[in-house]
Amino acid sequence: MIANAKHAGNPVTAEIIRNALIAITDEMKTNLMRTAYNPIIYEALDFTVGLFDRNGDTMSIGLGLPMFIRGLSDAIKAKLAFYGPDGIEPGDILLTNDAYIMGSHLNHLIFTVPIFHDGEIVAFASSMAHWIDVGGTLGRTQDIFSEGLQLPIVKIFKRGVQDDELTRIIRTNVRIPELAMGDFRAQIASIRTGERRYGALVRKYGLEAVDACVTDLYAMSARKARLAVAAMPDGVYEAESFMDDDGVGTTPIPIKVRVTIRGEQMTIDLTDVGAQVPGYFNSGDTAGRSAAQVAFKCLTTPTLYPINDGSFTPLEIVLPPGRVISAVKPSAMRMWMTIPMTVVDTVFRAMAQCVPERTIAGHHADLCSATFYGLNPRTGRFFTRGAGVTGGGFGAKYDGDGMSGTVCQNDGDTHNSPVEATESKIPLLIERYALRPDSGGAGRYRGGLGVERRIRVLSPLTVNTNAERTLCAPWGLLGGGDALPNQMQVQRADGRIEDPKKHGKFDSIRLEPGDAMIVRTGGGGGFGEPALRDPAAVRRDVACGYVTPEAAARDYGYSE
Amino acid sequence: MVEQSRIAVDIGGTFTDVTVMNVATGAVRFGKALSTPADLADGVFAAIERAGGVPATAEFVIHGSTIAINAILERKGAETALITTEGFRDVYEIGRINRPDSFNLFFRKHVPLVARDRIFEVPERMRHDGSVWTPFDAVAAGALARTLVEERIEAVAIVFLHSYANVAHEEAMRAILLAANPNLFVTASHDVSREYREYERTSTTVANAYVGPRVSRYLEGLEARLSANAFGGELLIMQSSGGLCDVATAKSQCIQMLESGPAAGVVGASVLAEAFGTKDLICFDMGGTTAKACVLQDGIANLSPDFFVGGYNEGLAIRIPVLDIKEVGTGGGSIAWIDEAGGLHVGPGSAGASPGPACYSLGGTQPTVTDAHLALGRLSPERFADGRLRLDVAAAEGAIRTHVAEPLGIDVAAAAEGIIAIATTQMANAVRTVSTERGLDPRDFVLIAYGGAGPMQAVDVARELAIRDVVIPLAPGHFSAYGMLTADLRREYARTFVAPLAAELLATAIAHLYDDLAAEAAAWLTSTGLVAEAVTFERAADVRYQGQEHAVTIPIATALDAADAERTIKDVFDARYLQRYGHSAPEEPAEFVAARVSIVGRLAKPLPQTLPSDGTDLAAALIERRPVRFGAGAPVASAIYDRARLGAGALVTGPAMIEEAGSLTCLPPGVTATVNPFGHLFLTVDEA
Repeated sequence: MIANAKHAGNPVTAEIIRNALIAITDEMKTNLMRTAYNPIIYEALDFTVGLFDRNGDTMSIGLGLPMFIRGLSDAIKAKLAFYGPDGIEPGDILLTNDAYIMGSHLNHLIFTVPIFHDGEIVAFASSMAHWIDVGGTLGRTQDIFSEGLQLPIVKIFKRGVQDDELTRIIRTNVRIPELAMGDFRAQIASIRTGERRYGALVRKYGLEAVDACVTDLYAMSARKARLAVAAMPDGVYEAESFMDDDGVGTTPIPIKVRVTIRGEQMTIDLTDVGAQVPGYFNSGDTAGRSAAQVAFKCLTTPTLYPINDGSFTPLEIVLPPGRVISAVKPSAMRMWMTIPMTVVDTVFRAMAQCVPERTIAGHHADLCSATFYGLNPRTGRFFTRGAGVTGGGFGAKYDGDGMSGTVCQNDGDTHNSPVEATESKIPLLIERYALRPDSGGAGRYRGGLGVERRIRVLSPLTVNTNAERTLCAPWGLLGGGDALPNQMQVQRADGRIEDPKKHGKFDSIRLEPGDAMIVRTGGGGGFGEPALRDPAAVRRDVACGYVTPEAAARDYGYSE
Repeated sequence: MVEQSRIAVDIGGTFTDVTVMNVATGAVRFGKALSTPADLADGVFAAIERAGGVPATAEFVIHGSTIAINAILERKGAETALITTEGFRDVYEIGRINRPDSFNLFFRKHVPLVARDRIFEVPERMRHDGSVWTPFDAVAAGALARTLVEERIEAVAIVFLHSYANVAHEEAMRAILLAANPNLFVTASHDVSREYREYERTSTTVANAYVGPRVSRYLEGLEARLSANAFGGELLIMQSSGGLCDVATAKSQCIQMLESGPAAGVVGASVLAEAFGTKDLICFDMGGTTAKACVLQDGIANLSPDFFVGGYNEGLAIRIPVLDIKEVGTGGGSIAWIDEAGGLHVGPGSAGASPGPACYSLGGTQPTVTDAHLALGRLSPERFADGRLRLDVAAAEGAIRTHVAEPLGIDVAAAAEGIIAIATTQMANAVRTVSTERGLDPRDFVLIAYGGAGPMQAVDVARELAIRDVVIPLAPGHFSAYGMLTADLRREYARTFVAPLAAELLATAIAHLYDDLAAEAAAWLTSTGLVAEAVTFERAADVRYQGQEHAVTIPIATALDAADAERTIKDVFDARYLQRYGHSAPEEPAEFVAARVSIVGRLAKPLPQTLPSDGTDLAAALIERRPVRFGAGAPVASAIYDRARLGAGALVTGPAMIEEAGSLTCLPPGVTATVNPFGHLFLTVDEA
């Protein structure tokens, strides 16, 4: 191991700067979350904030959304390339929602403020947040133009002055401008916080010292990641899975990954992931590479903070353009976040052959969102709102059962919407929010349980669902059983059950008062042979109702 | 003459602290005894005796304890069941579904205090406006009550959806349970919270039921022991809100005690602030394993919007009125270590009291913040802990050399300075989360430092935040107990009511809501039988812009039926929002979310004792001179004073150390300290 690490900066200052970077991004995050206007930001935490060096590399990001781990950095690099460092002036704020730069849907607006010191750009503060509406069609989409307003890289503030014309274009193109402008202000305040705090840090410790410490922090993160990879057995590890469809057709999409470990280097090859699709489940290259980085971080340095680009030095990603996770213009991207999650899970599946003790069985891998829109009788205004994220099962691990009712891998500190809060805002009545017995895969360690949520509408509304993974069940590892997959149904007021025409996807169907949407999220896969499960744990599962006596008899030979 | 006194008892993990105040003279005495987990009252009476306290002549015994929080953390509560609305059995286990530790595949979400086989559903359903959607099924409830009796359940939590808006079904359920077994400890959710968000209310209610039997039995035992000692005064309990309540209330509202110790310190600070004529204070409380920061703005500490027992990531949400105190895992015992990539860190690992810092020679080998202070000469090896523990300088230096200095290729002094610098910035960041993150500038505040280690680190932290004025109160190591002696009776009442912020509602429904809450509060105070010097009601409202989720709490100073009430409240909200978040939207409509009423029953404050003003002769207080290192550079000759011998008006100029029982104030060069008439130290800090 390292005895005398070589530092460019002072190790004490490096640790102080490290703590400060975390503290600053936390403050940016708190500021954004507390002042945002739409629940996707304050509950789903569909945002990411961060500090970036003068080249646009990540010094620290506050997530938000793990699958956006590359989005801000790639967007800043594009902005820098577009204007050139001399084309950006103090007081400018740069904005874009270019789907092919950030790899995700148009709802993500990225604001970036340059941080100047002695007349030079020394860093950037940036925030992405998911706006609840950016125009476009409310139904199915098949190209980017139908998904809403596209903002190329623009300056929304020029030398401190907000661009009125651009602002009016934005207001005009969104359905609920007051919500959009509320989130706009929250994002600006967040990056100004980052600008102020980082500026103070540079003034206090000096630019040279801060830069040297940031370089050290990159090097230390890289070192930790390399040590983790070096501990993994060399080899080539492959796995595959599939998605239901692309939202328009009915053809499954194959997800094949190949991971190579050679000494201190990991290569994640995504060449054999399916080609980009006519439907709207595409994501851009940035999202594909984010998926690889998320998997890499989980396997190597899961609790290392701040998240900086140094820690990804030992990772090589192979991803040619034109795959469903490296789609090119004008492919539709509205559900960009779904497939990368299964890519991450499939990497864990491959790595179970290499480092079973660092990996995890498959999980429900979808937000299973149902989006309602229509007139809110309480306000007389149009609204569009998900009923909140439901949570589902996580896979078991080599030393423990999987978690039940927990948000999928795409998201992190995402919260569900309290039933009491949802019902006080919109005309829905949640009738049931409960775990699904037997939905976790059997195993020496059992997978977590999925959740059932039954949502009755109280006034006429339209609903869209885009659930995936209703066919490819969350898999078990090393002899563990598969879980139940995701499922969406409608129950009409008269009791009739309707399935979607296509897997988990209801396409703008009308619900009348008394009709109910039923969301069932999948469980997590089991880990290890069920025969090895501690009989006391099986008894406990039956007593608590996580597993029915019948399933326990079938899977574990249980008898009362 | 018989001494009229007040006795404060603060039970901590290791020690039970007692402070006795003579009401006539304001003189205080201290006593300490080991806490006695088998029967906590044993430790209480041992400490009272050591402090020379006489329960028979005390007007109040004021008590705070970690009993409730320990019962939760150690999972040593009652056999508890949870009864909830049909369809919602799993709200408690599902929680908020979040994974704060997003990349950690081995992350573990909160573990409920009640397992699923003890969670039961009853058919019933309210809507958000309090109307009944499904009637309460009394037959099913009766059958369930019998089952719980058969299963020998001791405590039951009842949480029905939207019960904050209508308590009828929860009350019906409680009546059925108590009819089946009058000895059950029953908590209905509306007893502890009438705010929406079902998971948080469930978690809070269950926690109260879970600790209830143990805490209430303990309080009964304490009352009995006090009676046996001829105590004829009032036993008052310190709550997490910083207010006192009567013991009957504490026996049903058991979790209100959770954070009584930290809250008491903040209360002490607020009372001193009034005396100092400053209302903007940052409280800094540093002990062996953690440091805590809290802001008093205009003399008032905010209540925390979210509190978790066991931490945010994996802990249990508790929604009670708890002061907004930020805690970081950096204290005197925090360990400095080098990671596999050569990075230097301080904490969160702590050597605690056992094995303790390397210099304690009690088995600790890792260098801690305390070792760093000792290596720089700031601590006296002979007089630590009143001379009961001789500190080993060589052991401290050796630990720093082996684990920090040599791996980094720097000398021991630089390593020790580095450890302190890192600890300082971590603590300063904690202060920032309660100040700059709320739109407040720490430079506008006075820092008050207490806890055993607070005065040692106070100037470093103040400099990091550019704070000029620092106060070290009298007996900083016993400050929580002092706070208890000065607290008032207090209870908070809140109710969720989501509605537009409109004049007609303010004058009617919302005004009635405040009247109801005030009436409930007044009825509580009457029920205690306690007599306060003065009774006041504080009104506040949670307000947000329409469309938002998070609300900002603002004071309501206006008459709600006044013509301009809507405008006034909106203006206050816009201004508070702007200050806190750096932007606001005065043109956007706002929404009322919750009404809050606090009742404060002011208790007479004993006058503090004044010091003789003959202490300006420092020579009498000088213990020794020795070299101490402050920052880079050579050690400088520093005077070491005995605080007990510094009289009012004394002026001490750094470099100097002021030693006292249980603490030590560090004055680097350029910092001056004066002793005020009541014995508090006022420090003036330059910008280093």
